[in-house]
Amino acid sequence: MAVADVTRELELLRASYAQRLPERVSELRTLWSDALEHPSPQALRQLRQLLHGLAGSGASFGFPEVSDAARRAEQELDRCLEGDGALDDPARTRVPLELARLEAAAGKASATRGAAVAATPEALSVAILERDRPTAEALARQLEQYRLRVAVTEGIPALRERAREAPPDALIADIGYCDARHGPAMRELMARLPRPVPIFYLSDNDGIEERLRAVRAYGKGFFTRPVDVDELLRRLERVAGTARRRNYRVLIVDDDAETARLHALTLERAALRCRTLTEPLRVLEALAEFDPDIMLMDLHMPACTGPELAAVIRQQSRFTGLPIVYLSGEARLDRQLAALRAGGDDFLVKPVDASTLVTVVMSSAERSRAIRDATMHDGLTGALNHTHTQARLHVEVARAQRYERPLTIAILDIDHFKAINDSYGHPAGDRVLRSLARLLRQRLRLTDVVGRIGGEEFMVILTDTPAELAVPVLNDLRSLFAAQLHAAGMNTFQATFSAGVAALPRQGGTAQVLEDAADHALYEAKRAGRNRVVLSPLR
Amino acid sequence: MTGLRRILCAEDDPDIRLVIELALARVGGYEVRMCADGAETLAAAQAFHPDIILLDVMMPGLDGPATLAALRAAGIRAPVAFMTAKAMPDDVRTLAALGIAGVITKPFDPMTLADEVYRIWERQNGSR
Repeated sequence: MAVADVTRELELLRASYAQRLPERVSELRTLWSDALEHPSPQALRQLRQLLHGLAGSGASFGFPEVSDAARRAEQELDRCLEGDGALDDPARTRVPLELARLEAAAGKASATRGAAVAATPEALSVAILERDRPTAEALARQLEQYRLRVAVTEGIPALRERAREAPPDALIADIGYCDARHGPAMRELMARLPRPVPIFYLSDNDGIEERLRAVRAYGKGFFTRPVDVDELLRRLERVAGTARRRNYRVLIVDDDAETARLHALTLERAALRCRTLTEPLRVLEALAEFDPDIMLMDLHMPACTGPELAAVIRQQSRFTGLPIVYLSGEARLDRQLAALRAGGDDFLVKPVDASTLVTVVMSSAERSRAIRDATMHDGLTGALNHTHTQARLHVEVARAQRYERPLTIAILDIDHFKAINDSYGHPAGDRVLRSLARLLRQRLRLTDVVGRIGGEEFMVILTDTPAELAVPVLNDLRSLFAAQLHAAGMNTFQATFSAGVAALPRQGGTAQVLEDAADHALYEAKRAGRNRVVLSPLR
Repeated sequence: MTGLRRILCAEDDPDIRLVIELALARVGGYEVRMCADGAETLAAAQAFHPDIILLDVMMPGLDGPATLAALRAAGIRAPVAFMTAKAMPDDVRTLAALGIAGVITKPFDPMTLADEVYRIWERQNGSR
């Protein structure tokens, strides 16, 4: 195997490790404050275990500062544990110091960009405003299990303080905070935040009055206690998550490379992802590969006009929903109208000022994404539906082949799903499906695709990932899923899945070949006794 | 004894597992079997016929030394090297006293790990 390949894979591992570092450091911080509050040798040992892991791994991934700081903190704990098991004064000063160094090193490491395998997308941050601390802490623990960053705040002033530093993605508040006494302070606080924060209210009573109060206090959701955490998470992800995940893609078609680049620069500054194309006749390839949310096109190009190209694009049912915005020096209204009739959505006259360009592109992209989201996703699990999973598979295969990048897919099937439905009822079965979908979304990268392709069958498309890296990731997912407890009335039960994995062959692979191979491997996994991951021999 | 071909390795940290596998299988070209804990290693050792076994010292459940004892009790004679993030001379001496082929200190360099393992294996076989 070529050295370049190894270096590349090492890069992938390194990036993946770096992305998870901040999470580990915050875990350390939590353990440390626990150890200070409730000192016990056990707490110290747990902390030491985590530090030990970092000390042993950091430098292997190219982050020696991580290893060094972790090792020094570990040695402090070693000394305490070898003594009477209590934290001594030197440890009390040195450990926080090393944790701060770790945090700095982790922050620096994770800021270096790169592809990552099995990296978690940045966790949603949630603030909780409850009447009493134990209730708040209990809810926080539950949410943290799903990798949310949770801050329990006591009272509105504390929340204001925290929000000033970093506004949370969502707020969970007791319904009491929108009464006559607290309401005005809450409204004032919300109005001052740099961006709107959705609020979810919790109440003991489910009355129309409470619900009305919540709505009037800008409530995005209303939950009665005991809180259905599953449902709360679903709403949180939908409301808070979408704002974070808008990573709109814009395809810019202009025969003048300079103009195209200029527009791309303007849009990229507004955090849009752009691809420029100077040969209009290659637009279909670019569409299939880049899968844009919106297309920006010059009206007059040598090979063909914008409206002609739009008509060609609109002939394909896949792209009928794609917004097309023309850019041109054309000031004549009748020509502009003719262009729009041929399938354009908007018209911008050059020179376009930056803010107009961004506004028009953003609003079109938002609309098109919302329409696509509504129809692309499976209503139960939020995963892509069957048709769109297939479409993405084709896109990803094309992309992988063009850039000669690895691509691995897996087909997952919940074991004995019918028996789960029969024994615990369909609602329990549905919850199992939802929790698997959530686990997949949380544990995989944003660039990976999770689709529900059958009743209890999911497809995972791991972009830019060879099978050797995908199999351990899937095995981790498998054990995490198997360890989850599902509720059914007073009972709890566990479920497992089997998975077939296949990597796109170097030559002559198609989406169909890949899917068949994964399907076959899944069959092998089932036959070999289920709850396992089998890799297809396809190479 | 023809040469070093098969390496069995126990490591509980999934990140490190990936790097070791990459370092030994892809860089080194060896046949590698990775295990997540001592029990799995014990089970795998019988069928895999490793030429050398690498054990992480600190693992939950069976730790490195306990796994070593269990391997020997099961009649597995392959040389064993420990991997440890504690590279204090005292620690290394304590480990060496357990009758092992070598100690690999963590963090290791993924590009040279295969060479390091080969040297340990070679030393062991030269002395036989």
